[in-house]
Order: sequence, then structure tokens, then C-alpha cells
Amino acid sequence: MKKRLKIWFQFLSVKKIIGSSIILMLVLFVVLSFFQRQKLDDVVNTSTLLASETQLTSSQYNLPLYRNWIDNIDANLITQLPSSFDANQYQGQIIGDDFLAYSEILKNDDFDQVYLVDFEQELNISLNHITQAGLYYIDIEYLLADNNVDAVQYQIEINGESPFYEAQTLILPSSWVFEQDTFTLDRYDNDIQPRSIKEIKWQNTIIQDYKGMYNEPFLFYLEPNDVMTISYVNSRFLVAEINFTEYEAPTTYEAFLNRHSNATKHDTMVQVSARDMAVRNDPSIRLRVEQDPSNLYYSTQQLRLNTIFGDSWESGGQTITYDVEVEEAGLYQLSFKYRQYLLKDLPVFRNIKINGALPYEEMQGVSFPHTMSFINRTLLNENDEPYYVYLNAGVNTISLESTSQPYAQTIENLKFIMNEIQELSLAIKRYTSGATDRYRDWDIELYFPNAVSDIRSWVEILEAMYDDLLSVASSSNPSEIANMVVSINRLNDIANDINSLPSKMVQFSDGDSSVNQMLGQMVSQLMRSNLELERIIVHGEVSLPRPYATIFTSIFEGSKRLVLSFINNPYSVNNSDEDLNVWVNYPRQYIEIMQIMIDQSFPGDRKVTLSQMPDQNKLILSNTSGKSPDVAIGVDHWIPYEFSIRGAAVDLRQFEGYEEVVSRFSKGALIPYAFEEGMYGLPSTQNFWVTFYRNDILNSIGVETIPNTWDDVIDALPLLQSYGLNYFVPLAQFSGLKPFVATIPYVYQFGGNLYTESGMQTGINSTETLEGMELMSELFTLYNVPKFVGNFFNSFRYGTLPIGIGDLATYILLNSAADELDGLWSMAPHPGVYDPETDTVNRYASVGAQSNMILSQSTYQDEAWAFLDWWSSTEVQAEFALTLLSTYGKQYFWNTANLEAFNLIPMPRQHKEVIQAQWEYAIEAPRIPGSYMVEREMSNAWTNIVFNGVNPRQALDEAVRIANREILYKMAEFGYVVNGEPIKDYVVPTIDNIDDWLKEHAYD
Amino acid sequence: MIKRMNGPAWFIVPYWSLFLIFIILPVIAAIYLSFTYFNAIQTPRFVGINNYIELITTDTVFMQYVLSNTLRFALIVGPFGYIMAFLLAWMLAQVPAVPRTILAIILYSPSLTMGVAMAAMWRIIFSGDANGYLNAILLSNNLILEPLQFLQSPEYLMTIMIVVSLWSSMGVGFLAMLAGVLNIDQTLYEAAYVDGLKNRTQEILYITLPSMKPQLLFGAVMAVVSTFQAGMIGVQLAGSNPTPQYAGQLIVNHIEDFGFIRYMMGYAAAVSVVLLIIVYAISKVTFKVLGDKS
Repeated sequence: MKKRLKIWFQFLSVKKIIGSSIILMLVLFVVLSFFQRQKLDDVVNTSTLLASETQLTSSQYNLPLYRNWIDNIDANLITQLPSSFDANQYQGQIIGDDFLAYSEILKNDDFDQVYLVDFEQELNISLNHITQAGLYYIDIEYLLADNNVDAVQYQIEINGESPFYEAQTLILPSSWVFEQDTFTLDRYDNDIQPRSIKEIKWQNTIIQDYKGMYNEPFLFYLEPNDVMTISYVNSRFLVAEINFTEYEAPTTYEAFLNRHSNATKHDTMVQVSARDMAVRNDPSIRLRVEQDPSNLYYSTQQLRLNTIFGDSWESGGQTITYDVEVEEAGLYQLSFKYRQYLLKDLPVFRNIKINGALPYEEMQGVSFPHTMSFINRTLLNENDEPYYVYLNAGVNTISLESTSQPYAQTIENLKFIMNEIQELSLAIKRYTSGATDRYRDWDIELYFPNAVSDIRSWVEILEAMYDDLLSVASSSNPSEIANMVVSINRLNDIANDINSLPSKMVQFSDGDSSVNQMLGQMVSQLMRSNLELERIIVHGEVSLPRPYATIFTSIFEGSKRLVLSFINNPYSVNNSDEDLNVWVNYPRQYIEIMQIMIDQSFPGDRKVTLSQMPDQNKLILSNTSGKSPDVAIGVDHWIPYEFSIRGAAVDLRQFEGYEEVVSRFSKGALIPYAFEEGMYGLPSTQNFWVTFYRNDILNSIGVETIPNTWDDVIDALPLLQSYGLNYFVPLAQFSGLKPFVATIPYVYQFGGNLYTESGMQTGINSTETLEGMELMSELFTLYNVPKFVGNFFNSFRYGTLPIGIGDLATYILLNSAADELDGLWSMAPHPGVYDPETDTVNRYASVGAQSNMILSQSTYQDEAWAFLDWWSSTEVQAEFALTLLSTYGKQYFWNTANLEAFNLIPMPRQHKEVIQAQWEYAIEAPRIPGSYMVEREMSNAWTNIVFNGVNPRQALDEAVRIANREILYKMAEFGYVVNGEPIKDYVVPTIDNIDDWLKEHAYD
Repeated sequence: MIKRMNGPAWFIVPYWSLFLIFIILPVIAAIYLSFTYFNAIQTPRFVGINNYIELITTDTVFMQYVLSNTLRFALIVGPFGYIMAFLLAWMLAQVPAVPRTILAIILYSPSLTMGVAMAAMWRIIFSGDANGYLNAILLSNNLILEPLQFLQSPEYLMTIMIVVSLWSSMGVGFLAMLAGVLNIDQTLYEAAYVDGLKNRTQEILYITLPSMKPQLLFGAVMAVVSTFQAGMIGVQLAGSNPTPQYAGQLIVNHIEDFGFIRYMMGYAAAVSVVLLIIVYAISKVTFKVLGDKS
């Protein structure tokens, strides 16, 4: 043996070394994988963070924050009072038995009277039975009357004024349950998340903060004969009673143990999968598939929803409740299999409630540290002993409520510093008029004697906060807050050389990587308490199941999946001759729901099979190879034209019922599908470009009316710019080519047209368009709106562009991803041009989004038409929109082009009205052969005017020359022009003559 | 014919059939399509040499921007990349085997990972906001006051394209040259020193270069072909086709513009045939210069 080893080493070659080290590594990897960490039980002590001494409040709030308000009030004022009110104290709209669909619920409850709060009706309560001024906890008995997915907001005023900032937007919690208990399977046997429905029932809540920033409910200071007003913000609700109530703070753990000293500890284990949510208060919380064999629900071949999707469970207040059944009453430990990958090296927090109440104060703000893989966490106290909770025999509920309360102070301090930076920066800009020339000397010290000491004090605050955050971090150099260190260094640099600040504004307050932005990003990160949960385990002294599969299982399962992936591909392109093949250009989630709706309720005889369109260009290639589908859904709005002019799309005017179908859409939205006599596509979704503005900022700088016309915009600019703010025009969002969507408002609002009537030339050199073109360039050259904005949404959030024109994408983001802006922004129609003749404002703006079409290779054209008719019908579109929202949440807003269906979509009334008003001016660029050159040349003309200072007339003439040549060339290609002479008319569809296309051919 | 094929000749059948299907046939198809009007959807219609006439007489974009851009790009990236490839190969040949292998992999890998690297690295380096590495460095050293629009502004785009292409130009040609340098018989050098060779420069000129002519030729052809085929780079950097003011428009982008944006496949085929001819002609010249006379 020894000899053999000796020989082995004697003839050690490079090959041998490499080979044996590879084997060694593999063995080591396999062996080590058995010692992979299974538990993450580190105790996170938040006391330092919570006891933070710096408590600053930004002056951006129009009212004091609750915590500052309550600090100024004598805490001894809390008093007990008669708990019910007389009916005559309420003043509001009384609802009888016949109210809407709720009469059943109303009958069963014994409330004397029920009041409706809606956009025109508020509820006033005269507090004339209070004998003594004091602080009161208030609870409210309510029923949510609208089926919308947004959280229902309301506002409380005492004598016509909200007492503190948070009272302006309060939330009435809703409860959402799955429509059915079992998960439905689609036709490929994959899990589909069941639709959620809002429980319509009387609910009771004590008035509290919904963002998870306070542990206790709000107190209100009331005096005799005060009038309390509850008013509508975004959704209607019914109120039955308002009561004063008591609030008991949770006890300590010791007190809890003493109370249950007789309870036994059971050595059993109950596991509940995260997907079995009993109730959640926000339908946006959704499940995803985690392909790991160790999960409670797993299938090699099919997709099993088994994990809460972290990105959908990260806003404060979002709560999931689980039913946990234990056989015997007693004390149990709690463990969670979770992953928290968002806050690097910092924990997120959850409040854990058992049967609706916090069992003891330690269950407030339970921490979940950062981990990249799923891991078990048992809740432990500082001495590493498990926390026990008391469960009754039978079904108990365990609720996890997302909270950022431990970070609340940090967030407020950061906001304070951001606000101070913004103010200093504005003041300096007013002094320097925004100059950034670094060769010019400024005496900042003289004019801003406090600047240096202020900056130094912010540095101190940041340093203190950093140290506080370190106490909860799982690393000594947490990457999540690394930007804090960068900010500290930067601020120090600036303070050391304060006179250079005017040239360093990009690093200080303005740029994407300025201190201000870095702190802003940190605020939004800290507010996200992203948590992925796979299961809850209720147990005693037992060993928990391993949170990951062994290496052999995962390799085996992985290779099985790899093999299966070659044969099992749901929604991949399918070309069955029997079926009606429909290619859909939407994400998988949309297709799954569509397919289920089709399978359940499409009345046609032929089986409809959906496939996900890999890429729009594949539609062209599929057509070339003769394998095109029958119907294409969701292709870009310019595709049907390109197909129609080459004879690959079907004219829809030949079908029966055409007139009824097109009457569902905006006329302007149909323009791009009209070609010669025919109509070759139908809009599927419809975009909108409207004005978004920040109420808070515009109010504070004194912009009173929202610009209605471009003249108003220009009038408002000097005021905005004197504060370093600006107006966003969508031209700045497209960096290279400025597409039609950005340029056509300037053409059509001024009464111009892209093409001449004959269609053989572009009309962009008309007097009207020239006027539009001048505005379009002067906005940038004369009035200085920003030329390039990477992301309007972010600038809008940070307040640097508090007003601007945005589209659907901005709307969805504001609605779902900007919690801190709730209630601070509004919408108004697109600015336009005043027309004195009609006394109206021309607001034409593009609406093109996605479209549907039938391909001419289809053998089942009539069936395809029947399918399109069914799919675009009001009921189907409204149901699809609602199903998407209630299954996946607010991000899945379906902007259907069907106007009636859009009207049925649950969304805030004010927003809907603005969008509908804008759609009165829906327009889209007509297409003619060579129109891409008009688009390109308009963009080039703009660049020429703005960057090269060319005169607009000259730039347009050049553009017209090139575009006309291309149009003639393309017209020749399609046979409208022979040897330079037009031989056929080309009728360009416009908003004025589109009616000619809206009749069926049979009636011509 | 089959009768005349001897046994071993069958071994070239797989190669020849693949070559026929994937190279010869597409080239023939492209040449055929270049004489047709083909809009990607309808059947091609024969139009004679119209496409070529249009290309030469009416396509101002091609003449004004595309051709000059392509030549400028190719003339800088081709020769410089080629010389760099030889110099690096020669320098690598001077170091011991293990570090040589590692360095060769490092130098070779950019040409493999181009697409990923583009998204992950170069677009971030040249990003037009203050977060772009280059802009951030320039800003923090007070060299500029506002972020420069590297990828949008016509004046920078071409330079950046050239830099990025040079970075990724150590491809197969470079590996071949490295092999060529290493294969040279060491006794030749010894003999040359005996005959009075004085220094390293003379060594390169009289021994190294003449002894690796085949590899030099291969490298040159690869350099020519790859620089003329490079096209995606400008579009990937700028983010739109056409690139702003056609500043980074190369022939390949022009082909794509006509093929997939204007649906003029026939015309696009004509342009690609022109590209083929240019590449072929320049390769011929390269053969003349570097090829073995035998």
C-alpha cells in the first residue's frame, strides 16, 4: 500500500494533479453540501435602532406627523367615554334596505342606520355628548361597497381640518379570499392561482397607520361639540358605527408565560404551506413557483405554486392570514421557511398575530435577516430560547403583517436630510442662477454662512444612523447602506470646499447619483419589506425538515426536468390543422387566464389553442413559410398595416357584425388599421398620454392651476424653473429616434396633418405643422425643458420633475410602485391648443398600443372573426380585466381598448374620468407607404433645430424633401405611381374621414 | 463520379453537405433574391438589376454614411486589430507555458462573450447619465460638468464602436498566430544568429514573419471578414436602428434596416451581395500580399 502511494507520488504529472484535484473538489462539494446551513436563528436586536436619539422631521409635510403631534399633547388626557353614538349625531347619506346588492347583508345586521361615503357625500358626526376634552382611540364599523383592488382610502377631519399628516390618507382594511379552495389546473396541468374575491361583510377596525410605521393605533384629540368628518378619497364605503374604544398594548413575554404557566408544550409538528392563504388584505400578494423538491408542493413536470412572491409582499400593512389546526391546546414554537434577498445584510420585519392579536410585544417587528437561499428560522429570544405562542385546540389563525416600523425613524431622518439638501440647493441656485461653471468663483460662505455647519450636522446624523443600522445588520459592512458611507464622504468633501458647491450640484442634489438620490433610493429600499415565504411550521422540540433538497435529489430532479423540457412546453407554438391557432403577444400570466376563459366560455365550435408569440418578427417569417396562425393577438399597432399592404392580413369589413364590433373602440384608435377600402386590425389595448402632477410640490411653490394648454405650460415654466424644477415632455424620453408617439400631438393639435390629401406627399411643412414644430423645438431651446430624461417616473418620485406628460406605464408604476406618493399626485388631460372657433382645447395625443388581426393564410376566417368578436366584447374584456387585477394585483392593469369595458374596470373615479376625457381626443398616426421616413425625418428635423440651431422652416424643408422622395419611391413599389406619375388615389385615413371605414362592405 | 470516389473521399461528404446547405445555398439564394422585389410576405418578383441601380444612384444614406462609416471602421479596426493580434501573440510566445495559456484565454475570451459583455459592461461604462463609469470618473475628477451622451451623440459613437471592437478583436486569428509563432523551428533562430543576426527586431523581420505566413494570411482574412461583418455593435450601443443621425450605421445595419424595418428583402439582399463582393475583393488583395507564391 505504502509502496503504491509512493509510486503514485513519484510519477505525479500535471494531468494527474488536475484530475485528482477535480475529483477532490467534487467530493468536497458533495460532502459540504450536507453541512449546508439549515437554520438562520440569529437574534436581531432592534432596541438600539428603536431608541435612536435623532428624531427629525422633514418640513415637506403639510401637517405635523402623528409622532410629533402626539409629543406635543399631554399624555394624561386619555379618557373613557360612552361607547356608542346617537343616530342624530350623524349627518350623512342614509342607506336604506335597498342599497345595491348589499341588502342581504344589511338585513342580517341590526344597525339602525347605515351611511354611504362617496365622492359627493361625506359623513359628519357631531360630538356633542362628549363632556370632557381628551384623547380617544376610535374604531369604525364599515363595509367596503366597491369591488376595486386598490386599498380603500379615507380621510378624517376634526372641525374641517385633519389633525395630523397621516389622517389625510387612512386605509380601511379589506379581506380577500380565494374564490375556491383548490387550485385550478390549466390544460397543461399547471397550477393557476385562483381568482380572489373581496369579502363583502361588516368589518371593524381601530383607526391606525397603514404603512406599518407605528405600532400603536392613532389617538385623536377631541373636545365637546367637535365635528368629526369622514370623507371619500378613492373608493366608496358604508359606515354603520363609530365608537370610542380602548386599546390594550401587548404584554411582555414574561407576563404571557405567566398567564399560560399551566399550558403544556407539545412535541408535534404542523406545517402549513404558504400557498394556503386563508385571507389576505391585498389581492396583489401572489404566489410563484419555486422549483425545489423539498417544498411542500412540488412536481417534477408541472408547475406548482408554492411560495409567496416577495416582490408582491413588501409594502407596509400587507397582511396574510393562515389557518393552522392543532390537535391539542398548548404552547408551540413558530418557525418559517423563508428567503429575504432584497435588503442586503439587513433584516425585514413582520408583526405576527395569533388569532387576530399580538400575543406579546416581542411579536411586534419580528426580524427576518438577509438570506439568498431558503432557510428555516425559529423565533428565539436573546438567550437563544424559543418563543412560545399559545394555540387553542382546533383552528387558529396566524397573521403576518408587513412592517417597516423599526426603520421608521431612519426613514424620517433621511427624508429630513433630503429635504434640507433640496432647500439648500434651491437657495444656492437662486443665488447662482443655476450656473455650474467651475472656473467661476462664488462666495458661498459669505451668502450662506450656515451651509458648512448644516452639512456637517447632516454628516453627524448620517453617521449616527449608520451605527444604529449596524446593530441590526448581519455584516459589518452592509452593502444595502453602503451608499450612506459614500454620501458621508461626499458631504464632507463638499463641506471642506463649500465654494465649489455650485459646480458640484450634480453630486449634491441634482444628478442620478447625487447624495439626494442615493438617500432617496435608500428610503424606498428600507420601506420595502420583501419576504418570500414557503411554509409556516408550528412545532415543539422536534427537528425541522431540511429547507433544501439533498444534492443527489436536486441533481436527479434537475436532469429529469431538463429531459422533460424538450417534450413538455405549454403555450409553445403549435400548428394543429384542426384548431383555431391564436398567437398571443402577452406574458404567460395573461395567456393562462385567457386560455381558461376560452375553455370555459367561448361559444365557438372550433377548439381555440393559444400560443405565446416568441417575437413579433416571427409572425412575418411564419407567414413566409406558410405556417402562420389564424389570429394574432396583441401585436404592435403598426403591424396590421404592414401585413395588409402586402396582402397578408384579412379585411375585417367583409364580416357580419363588423359595424357593431368597431363601435366598441375610439375612432382615432382605428386610423392605423385602415388601408384603401379595408380595415385590417382591431385595437386590443389602448394607451393614453395625460398630465401627471404632484399636488404637494405644486401647491407649495404656488402653481395653482394645472396647465391646460401649451401657453399655460409656458407660463408656468418660469415659476417651476426658479425652484430648479421642470416640466417633462415625452420627447425627452426617447433618446435616439423620436417616434410618432412623441411628435404627432404637435402636428394634430395645431390642425396639421402628416400627409397631404392625395397621400403622395408629407404635409409636415404646412403652416399649422410649422407652428407645432416651432413649439416642439422652442420648448427645449427657448424654455429649457429637459432634453433627456432617463426615467420620468423616478424624477417625478424624487420631485425634480413634479409635472409632466406620461402614459399608461407611468400610471401603473405610480399606482403600484410608489407607496410614498399615495394621494400626493393627480392626473389631468394632455395639454393642448385652444381653438377660439369652437371654444375647446385640442388635446390630440397618440393612443396606439396593441392590436389584433386575422391573417390571410387562415383557413378558418369566419371562426377567427367570431373569436375576435367574442374576445373584444364588453363582457369578456371586463371580466378579463377584473380577473387579471384580482389574481395578480394592480400591476396587471388591463387598459382594454373596448370603451364600455374600460368604464367597468375598477379604478379610482378621478383617474378614469381623466383618461376618458383624453380619449375624446384619441388619435394615431395614419400609415402610408414610406411613413417611417416621415417619422425619421421629423425626428431629424427636431435634432437639427435643437442641437444644430437650424431654422425650423429650413429643417422642415429638408425633412420634407427626403420624406417625399421616399414616399414616392414606396408608392411606386406598391403601384400607385408609375414613372413618377400618380395613377391611383391613395386615401389617407384621418380623424375626419375615418367614418367611411366603419361600415360593412355589404352596405357600401 | 461516385464510382471514381475512392474510400477516404467519403469522409469529406459530411463536411461538403453541411457546407452546401449552410453556406453555398444561402449565398445563391441571396444572389437570386437580390435580383427580385421581395417584401418578406409575398412571392419574390424578378426585377433585374434594379436593386443595384437604386443602390448606386438613389441610396444617399448608403453613399453618404454607410459606406464611409464601414470603410472607416474597417480600415481602423482591421489593420490595428491585426497588428495588435500579432504583437500580442509574439509577446505571449516569449513567456512560459502556464502563464501563456492563462493570458491567451483572457485575451481570447472577449471575442467569445461579446453579446453579454456588451450589455453588462460597455453600456454601463458609457452610459449617458451620471451613473455611467466613464461619466462618473470624469465627473468626480471635475473634467466635465454634465454627463456626456456617449452613446447618443453622433460625435462619440463611432470612436466608442472602434474601441469596443478592438477590445474584442483577439479572435481565432490571434490564436492561429500564437500557434504559428510557437511552431517556428528554434534552430532557425540559432542558425540566423550564427549568420549574424543582431537583435530581436531583425529576428521578427527575417525569421518569425516569413516562417508564419500561412497563419498571418489566415489572421488577415479573419480580420477582414469580421470587421466587415460587425454591425450589431453600433445598434447595441446606441439602442436603436438606425443609429442617431446614421453615425454608427454600418453595412450590416443598413441591410437590417431595409430587410426588417422597410420590408425590402430583395434590396437588402442586393446590399449583402455588395458586402460579399467587397469582402471577397479585399480577401483577394490580402492573398496577393501575404499568400504563398506556390
